[in-house]
Amino acid sequence: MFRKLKHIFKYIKLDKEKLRKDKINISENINQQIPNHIDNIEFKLKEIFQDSNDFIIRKITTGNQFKTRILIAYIDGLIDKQLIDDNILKPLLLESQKVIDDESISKRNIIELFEETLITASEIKKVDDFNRTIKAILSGDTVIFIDGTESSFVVSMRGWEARAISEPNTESVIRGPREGFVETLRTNTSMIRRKIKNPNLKFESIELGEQTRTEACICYLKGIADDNIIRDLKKRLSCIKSDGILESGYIEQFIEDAPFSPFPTIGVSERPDKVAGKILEGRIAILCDGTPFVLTVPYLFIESLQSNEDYYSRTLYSSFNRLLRFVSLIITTMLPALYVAILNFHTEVIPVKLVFSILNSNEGIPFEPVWEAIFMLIIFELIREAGVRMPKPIGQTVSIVGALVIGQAVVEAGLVSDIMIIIVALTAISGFIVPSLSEILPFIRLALIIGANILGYMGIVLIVVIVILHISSLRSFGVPYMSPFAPFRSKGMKDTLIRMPLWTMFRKTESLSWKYSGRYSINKNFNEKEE
Amino acid sequence: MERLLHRLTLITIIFFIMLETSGCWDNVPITEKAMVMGVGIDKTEDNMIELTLQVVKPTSINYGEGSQGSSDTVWVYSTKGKTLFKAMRNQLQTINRKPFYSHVQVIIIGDELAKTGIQEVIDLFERDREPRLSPTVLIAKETTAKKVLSAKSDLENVPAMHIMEILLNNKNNFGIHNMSFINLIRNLRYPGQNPTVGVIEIENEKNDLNIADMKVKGGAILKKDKFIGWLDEKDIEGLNYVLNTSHNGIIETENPFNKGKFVTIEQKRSDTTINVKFEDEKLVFMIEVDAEGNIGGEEGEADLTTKDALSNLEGQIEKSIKEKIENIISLAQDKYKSDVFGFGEKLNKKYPYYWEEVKPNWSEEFSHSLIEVNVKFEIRNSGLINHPTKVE
Amino acid sequence: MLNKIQISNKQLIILMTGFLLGDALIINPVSGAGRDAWISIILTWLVSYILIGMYVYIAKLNPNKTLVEILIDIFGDFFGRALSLIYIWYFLHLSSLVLRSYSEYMIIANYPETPLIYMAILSSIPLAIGLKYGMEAIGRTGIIVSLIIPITLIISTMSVIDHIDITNLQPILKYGIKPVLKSSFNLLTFPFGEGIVFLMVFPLINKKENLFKSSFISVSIVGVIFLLISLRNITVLGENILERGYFSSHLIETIHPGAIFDPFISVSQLILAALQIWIFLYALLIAISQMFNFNDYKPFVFPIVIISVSLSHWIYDNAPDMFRVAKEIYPFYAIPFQFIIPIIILVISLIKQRRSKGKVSE
Repeated sequence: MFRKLKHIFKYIKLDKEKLRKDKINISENINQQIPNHIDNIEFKLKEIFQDSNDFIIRKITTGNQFKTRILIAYIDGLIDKQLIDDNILKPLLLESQKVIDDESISKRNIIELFEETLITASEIKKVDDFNRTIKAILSGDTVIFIDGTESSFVVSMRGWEARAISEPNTESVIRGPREGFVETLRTNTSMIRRKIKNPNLKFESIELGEQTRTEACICYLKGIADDNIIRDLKKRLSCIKSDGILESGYIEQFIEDAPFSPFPTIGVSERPDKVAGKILEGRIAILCDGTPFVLTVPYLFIESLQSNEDYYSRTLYSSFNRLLRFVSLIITTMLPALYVAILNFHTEVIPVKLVFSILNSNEGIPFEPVWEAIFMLIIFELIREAGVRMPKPIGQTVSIVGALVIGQAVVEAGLVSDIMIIIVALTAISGFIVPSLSEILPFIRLALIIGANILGYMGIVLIVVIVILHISSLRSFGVPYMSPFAPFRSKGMKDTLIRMPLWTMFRKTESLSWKYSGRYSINKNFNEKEE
Repeated sequence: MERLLHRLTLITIIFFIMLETSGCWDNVPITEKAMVMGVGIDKTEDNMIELTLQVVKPTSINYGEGSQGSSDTVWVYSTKGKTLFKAMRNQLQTINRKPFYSHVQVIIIGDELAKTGIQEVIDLFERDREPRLSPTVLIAKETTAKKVLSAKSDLENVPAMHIMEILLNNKNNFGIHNMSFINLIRNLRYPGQNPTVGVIEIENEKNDLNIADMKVKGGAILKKDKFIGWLDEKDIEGLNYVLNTSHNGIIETENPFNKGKFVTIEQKRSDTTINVKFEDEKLVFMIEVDAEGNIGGEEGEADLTTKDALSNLEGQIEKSIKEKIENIISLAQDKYKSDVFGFGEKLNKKYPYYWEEVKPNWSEEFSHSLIEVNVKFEIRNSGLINHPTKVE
Repeated sequence: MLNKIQISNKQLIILMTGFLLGDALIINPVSGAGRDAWISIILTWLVSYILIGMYVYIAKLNPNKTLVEILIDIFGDFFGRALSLIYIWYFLHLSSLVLRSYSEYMIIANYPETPLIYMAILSSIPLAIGLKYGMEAIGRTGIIVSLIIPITLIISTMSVIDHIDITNLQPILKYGIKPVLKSSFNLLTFPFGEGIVFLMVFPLINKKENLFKSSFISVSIVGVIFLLISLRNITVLGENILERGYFSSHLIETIHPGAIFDPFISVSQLILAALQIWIFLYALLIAISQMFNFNDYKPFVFPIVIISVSLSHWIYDNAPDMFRVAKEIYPFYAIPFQFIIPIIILVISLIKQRRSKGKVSE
């Protein structure tokens, strides 16, 4: 079996080397000329889109004496039929009679005529490359081919069924806007645009994925975002080689700094106000068509403890919330481990009166506290995951009742002590306070419990030191992961565990909590790590 | 990739080895620990040390349901051994869990053992990391520690806690002498000072002992580490004044207007300073007591709140306190010839060279040194009324 | 390779403070002076400004060079390398010393049943991982975890504050000045003299103008903490317990009836020992890689850590032996490393600088 694994790994290694040699970005188009005659165009289009019944071709003839044949191509379902009827077909069929009756008009001017006077669409582009027209058709635009010329118009009349803007389920706030991103890229960019009305807000688009040709978009405030990071980001994006990019998560896993670390170095959000806030701080957002989850780069550890709602509430309350989150982070990782360590190694810490109830609850339990803790944590993870997958109507009730019943039954059967149930419940509840770290928590909890079983407090401290060492060495796009704690920046500390009043942080850009330290790593696809 | 595979395999093997073999040293599950609440040490007739442990029974205590009284909540067991450590290990032959000493509340020493010296006890508790330096020490008067520890309590689940909490009452009762372990060690080590320890005694001898039959009062004097004499309540009162551990208590004096009737004064706080100086080549210790209190109760019908009456009363109280102090001083100087107050240490701090000269004969020197006592007492208020109603 | 890594001044302060405090709270170098220990601490504190200042001055005279490079510069190739070999041995010895004393403390005070070597092995895992990650990660981790040391100080002092009896400091200088001077000398060589290690670390600092300021801030903080701890221990425990007990800070924790604050002291001790061993091993690795002209020290991390762990097990027979050596033999053993050679280096560097200044001005 070992040998087989070895073979598989060798194969993967070879494959990557092959890909490494081939650096040409396949999505770059080789220019292809549009055929002159409209019948050729129709033939070519029908060949490319054969067996697709949603591809529609409409041929019309405009003009009275000077007849020009025009071919309109689009994909049904991606376009708004009403708009095409009113703004392309109607003027071309009806109005063109009056306009292009003059014989002196040459073929060249027809294109300008169409563009400037006839087609009543707000967005129109002249395209000479056949591949780009295919791409435009697939993106939902309508392409108008004119007979006798080697150019075409791409008109944007998109209209497909999209989800309405609603409050995101994963990040809800008490006070703040209740908008969330949707799956359409253009709507998302519009939401960000509405928050930051600044001509320096740049959107650069890039096409990813060889088969899916997904459109992604980089968004940043020019002059505030660091140019080095932008350059690094673009380089990494251009090196993505994949068949399909279905979700921003794919992009995240391709460009992140430390793929094997449990800590994420790229932030994710579903709320436009949160993303806009991050852009204002100098971060760069990556939007991906087809998903409401937007990536932000760079991402620091402190951001997992921050929420945009902190800025909408007042100083005292939001500082309290921040501290609460920090404390709950500590509770949720360390509480089961501390319990195990205290019970087994350092029993002198327990106050005298508490010792009696702990003894009482542990009496008769066949398992040691370690196994109890691991057992209960596994059950908790099972319930949590099942709660996500269960169909909505039964979901809520079953999970609550299940948890209660299981907890009760397990205690009465004498499998787990009742104090352990309390501890696991506390751990679980505090775990929900910091949702952005929920991916890491099970690992850290497990590691800490095992450390506690091996050597009590020292085990816990050793593992904590290892974890802190690890996150101190991480860099997110060149920025140290633990800023502003280490390297210590006093300006950035205004916004970490407490939130100083907004008028002390007037220009967030001036108190950037990190400073680019001049080194960025080559993209991860080549598995190189620079110190 | 191969390196990664190698490393992963190595780490997994090490991990599983660690999981199985580790934690067998210090990892003692709590269900295998017996919580020792009280330790009693006696000396038997054949010169062996008898160790009594009061251990909590885990299943029957549930603090959430309120204390039920200790009919069935502790388990008391004694073993014998040549040394204390041996006796501790011999306990393992009967107790199935490992005794755990970090929560010991009270250490009771039998008077027979106290007479031959408590040095060994002290050494064990100081050297080992488990027992802490905070339990209090008591000597069992005319009885054995074994009997004291087997007494049951109606108010608390664990009798040792009951006893410990009695000792905490010393703030309100003059007669209780609360000497914690750390203070005992300190006093033992000061070359001049001899420690005093609290005492517990049985009033009603019964077969089925209850703490209600016992009293904690008085003290015992040790010379070096051997017991030499008892002190009763009055002596302890005076001792507390000198040692500056006197807090709240009751002083009874005669009513100056109605002879034969008593006035009770409740002392609220007291402060003592001790000074040492040389007067005409002779060593003089000066004790100054500064105390205050309120009128607690009055028998008789006079109005005690007039200026004269108050100063009269104060003078009487000062006299009575001074008497108590002089009483304990004469006991220490003449009867026992041992410095229980720590004057030697004060001398060391102020006149270290003289102290070095006198140290070998300190008990003689102490018995002959002059001690002056000055007491000042102030009455603050008289409660809600100024004199009791006249009974017609 | 050294140029890639940079640590800031604040990280240097934390590293130096943790390093100087490191072992000294376990093996109390001033215990010979009894209740006058605080006097010897003050004396040493003042002298250590000069000592550490001397080391920083050497670093300033030879900018951007580590100790090994300075030695090779000054003594020539052969002798320079021979001397650096001796220093390599010194750092290795010291790191295993610290590891051993820390393991002994843990075993005696907290884990009576665990074997000694196991404690050292387990503690060496984060050490090795930290060294693999490099000095940056160590510096940043230092800032974050050293938060626990002031917390521990405050908590442990507050919990015994009603046991403080200031007359325990008297009589002052009862036994004369000689024991005070002797323990003062002890304290100077261990730990202040070990600042020589920092000559290997100074080239990493990114803002070199503030070297003097940062070092002096460290020494001040360390002096204050030592003084505080010593005063607290003397006034609470009194002389007798102090001179009989090995770990006074631990004893203080046990006075308080509830044991809730016990772990803080052990944890902060771990952090301090870890910082100290990190710096020693890091200096060691850099010295090895510079002596033999290697590019990187990463391959040597695991072997050196393993050697250090096994050496720590071997150097002493038992705990009393360790205390005895630390008090009586170590100060004399350290003199050439901490005083003689640095003074020679300083003098020669000064001469060199004057000569080069003279050349420039011509």
